Amino acid sequence: MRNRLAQPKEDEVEVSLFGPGYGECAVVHLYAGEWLVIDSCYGEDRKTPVALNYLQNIGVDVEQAVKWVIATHWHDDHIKGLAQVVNKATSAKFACSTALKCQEFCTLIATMDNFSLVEESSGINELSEILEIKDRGPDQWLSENSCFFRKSLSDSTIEGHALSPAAATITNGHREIASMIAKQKNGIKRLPSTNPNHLSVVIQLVFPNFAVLLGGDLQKDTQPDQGWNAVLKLERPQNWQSDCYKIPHHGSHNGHDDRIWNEMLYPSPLSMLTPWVRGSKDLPTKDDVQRIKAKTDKLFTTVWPPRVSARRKMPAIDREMKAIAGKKQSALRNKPGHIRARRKINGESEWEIQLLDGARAL
Amino acid sequence: MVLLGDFNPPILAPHWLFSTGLTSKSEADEAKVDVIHPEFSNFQLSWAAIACDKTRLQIETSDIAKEFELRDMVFGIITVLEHIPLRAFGFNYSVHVKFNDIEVWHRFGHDCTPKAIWSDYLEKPGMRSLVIEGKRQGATSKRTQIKVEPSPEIETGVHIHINEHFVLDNEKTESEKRKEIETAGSSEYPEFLKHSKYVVQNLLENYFKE
Amino acid sequence: MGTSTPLEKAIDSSAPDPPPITFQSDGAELKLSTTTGGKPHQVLTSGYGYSSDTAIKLNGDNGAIKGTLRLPNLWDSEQSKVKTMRADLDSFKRVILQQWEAVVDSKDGDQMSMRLFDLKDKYAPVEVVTISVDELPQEEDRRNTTVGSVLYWTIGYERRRGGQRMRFTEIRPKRLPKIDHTAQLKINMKARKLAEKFGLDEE
Repeated sequence: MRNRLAQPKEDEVEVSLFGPGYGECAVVHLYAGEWLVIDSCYGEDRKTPVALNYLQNIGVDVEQAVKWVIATHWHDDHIKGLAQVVNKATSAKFACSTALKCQEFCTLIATMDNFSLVEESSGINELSEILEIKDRGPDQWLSENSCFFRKSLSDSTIEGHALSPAAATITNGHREIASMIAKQKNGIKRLPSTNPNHLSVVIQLVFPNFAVLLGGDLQKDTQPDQGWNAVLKLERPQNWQSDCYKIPHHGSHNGHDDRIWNEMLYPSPLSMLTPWVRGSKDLPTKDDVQRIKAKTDKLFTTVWPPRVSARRKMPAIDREMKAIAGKKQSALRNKPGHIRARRKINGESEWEIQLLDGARAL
Repeated sequence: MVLLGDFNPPILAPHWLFSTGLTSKSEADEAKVDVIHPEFSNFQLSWAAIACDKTRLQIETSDIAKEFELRDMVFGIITVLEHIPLRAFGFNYSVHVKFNDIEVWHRFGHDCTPKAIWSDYLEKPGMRSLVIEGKRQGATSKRTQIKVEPSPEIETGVHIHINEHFVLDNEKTESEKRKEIETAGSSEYPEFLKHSKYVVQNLLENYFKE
Repeated sequence: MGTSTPLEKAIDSSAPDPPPITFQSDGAELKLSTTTGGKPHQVLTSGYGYSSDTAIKLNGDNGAIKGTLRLPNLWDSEQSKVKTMRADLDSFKRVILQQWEAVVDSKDGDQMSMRLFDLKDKYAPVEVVTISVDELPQEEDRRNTTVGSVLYWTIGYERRRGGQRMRFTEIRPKRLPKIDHTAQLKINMKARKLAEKFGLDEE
C-alpha cells in the first residue's frame, strides 16, 4: 500500500474524492505537479477546506500548483470553504456555471449579501466571497461543450471540458433564480440546497489514453434539451469514453441514466460517490446501490453509512431532545472519507485505488 | 447592547419592529409600551426591553437564552436604519449577587479597596463604588470597565457591571460602521459574555466557599 | 447538570427584583414613586442612560420614596407615565444547557427536518433531527416556517421564584429584516455593480 502522504509521480494522474456524508470535493492531479480542485467541503476541524488540508499534507505548494478551482454549483454540500481555496490558490483560475452569468443571479447575491446575518452562511454567501476575491468575476464561465483547459504534452494533450449546463437549462435557471429572489421578499431565508441541480457543471477530463467523467450533481430531466438528456446529445470523440466516473447527485435515481453507462463510460468503470443526508432521507438508497452495482463492480463511497448516532449529551438534554424529536435524531460526520485513485498518464497501468479515512466499497 | 448615534426615538415602536420583520405580530401586539415620544421611546417585548433617546439606543434582556436574538435585533435595526449616523457602541453585562454573611460582604469591599490609607481622614471608611478600566485580552474595543458597588437593589448584595466600549471611526461610511458592529457582535460579543461571567466567577468565588 | 457551587446559587437566587417605580411628568418636572426601597438613580442609569448626577431631589421615608427630578428638555409637554424598563424582566433565572441554530432543510406536513449547528461549540458535529412544526409556540411562526427558515433551539433549566427548577425547551425563529424599499434600492445598486463585473452590461 502506498504511503498516504506520498505525492503522485509527475506522470501519474490522481483523482481524489472527499466527503464526510454531507459535502463533496474532488482534487485532481493533472500532470507534472498541476492540480485542479472541483467543489469543496470542510475537513475534520470544520473550518479548513479538505482540499487545502490534503494538498498541504502531501507537500503540494497550493499557491503555485493549483491551476483551476471549479464550482459546479452553489449548494452547501459542494461549496463550503471554496472561498478559502480560491484565496490560497493564487495561481488558479476560477470557473463556474454560465447559468450564474445573469442579472437575476447578481440580484440574488446582492439580496443575500445585504442580509448575511445567518450564523451558518449559505452557499450563495460563499460564492459572493469568491467574487470579492476575484475582482473581475470568474475567470471562466462553463457551459456545455466548452473547453476550459488544454495542455500540450510532447505528443498529445490533456483537456478539460464542461459538458453542462445546456443552453435551455440556463434560460430556465434564470427564471428559477428570479423566483428565489421573489420568495426572499417575504422574509429572508436561507437558500435551500435543492433545485436547481440541473444548473450543475459536468466535467470531462481527457488524458492521452483515458478519460475521467465528473458528474457534479446533474440530474435527469424530462425535457429532451436539459439535464443529462442534453449532455448525451453532445457529439463526443471516441477518446472521451471514460473509465473513471464520479457518480452524479450522490447516486440518486434522478442522476442516473442507463445511456451514461452505455455511451459515455467503459464497462464496469471505477465509480465513486459521496453520500448525502437530509432529514430522514439518505443517498444513495439500497435500490440506488443495487442499480449502480449492476453497472460496475468497482463502486466506492467516501464514507458509509452517511450518518452516525447523535453524540450522547447531558441526560437532561437527551431527555428533552427525545421528548421533541423522538428517535429521529442523528449526526453528520465531521471527518471526510477519501477515495484516492492513481494511474500512469499514458494509461499503461490500471487505477490504483486507496480507501482512506472511512472510504469503502459498496 | 448600546448604540450611540443620532436616533429618532418615535420610530422605535413595537409595530415598527413588526413591519420590518424583527418581531412577530403577536409580540408587537403584546408589547408593553411605556412611552413613545419625540424625545424618548421605551417599551418592552416579552423578552427584551428597548429604550431610545436622541443619542442612544439600548436593547437589553435578562434572559440568557436570548443572547443571539438580542444581537439579531441590534443588527436588524441598524440594517434597516442604514442612514442613521452611529458613533459608538457597547456591550453590557450586569449581575447582582447576594451575600448571606454581612462580614464576608464587608471583607469583599475591604479587599477591593483597602481602607488603611483613608482611616486617617475618615471614620469607618467604606467603598461606595469602584471602577477599574483596562483592555480585555484580545478585544478590539477601546476599553473595558468593571464597576463594583454595593447592590442598590438587594441588601448585602454586590452589583458588578461590566461595560465594553467601542468607538466607531468617523471617517468610515455608515455601511462600514455597520459591518464593524456586526463583526464585533458576531465575534466579540460571545467572548465578552464569556469573559464577564469569568470575571464575576473569579472575583467572588473565594467569598463563597462552603 | 452538576451541583451548583455556592456562588452559582448566590447569583441564581439574587436576581434583583426591581421595584415597580412609576414616573409621572408634569412638564419639566417628573415625579416618581415606589413601594419598595429601590434607589431611583439605579433606574436612571440602567434604564434610560442618564447618569446618577442628574439633579435628583428625594424625600424618602420607610418603604416609600417620593420625589421629583429634573431632566432638562425631557417630556416638555403631555403627562406620561413610565415604568422602569427592567420592572418586568428578570422574573426567573435560566441556565442554558444547549443552544443550536437550526436550519430547516425540508418540510413534510407538520414535520420539519433540520440541521442543528451548536452555537456554543462550532466544531461539534452537526446533528440532524425531525420535529413537529407545532413546537413553535406562535401560530404565525408555524405558518411562516418553510424550507430555509432559521430557528434557535435552546434547552436549559429555569429557576422560578421560590426555588423550583424546571427544564425548558424553546424553539423560536431567527428574525431577519424584510426587504423594504430602501433595502431594495441598495440591492439593485449592488446587483448592477456585480453585473458590470460579470460583463453583463456589454452584452
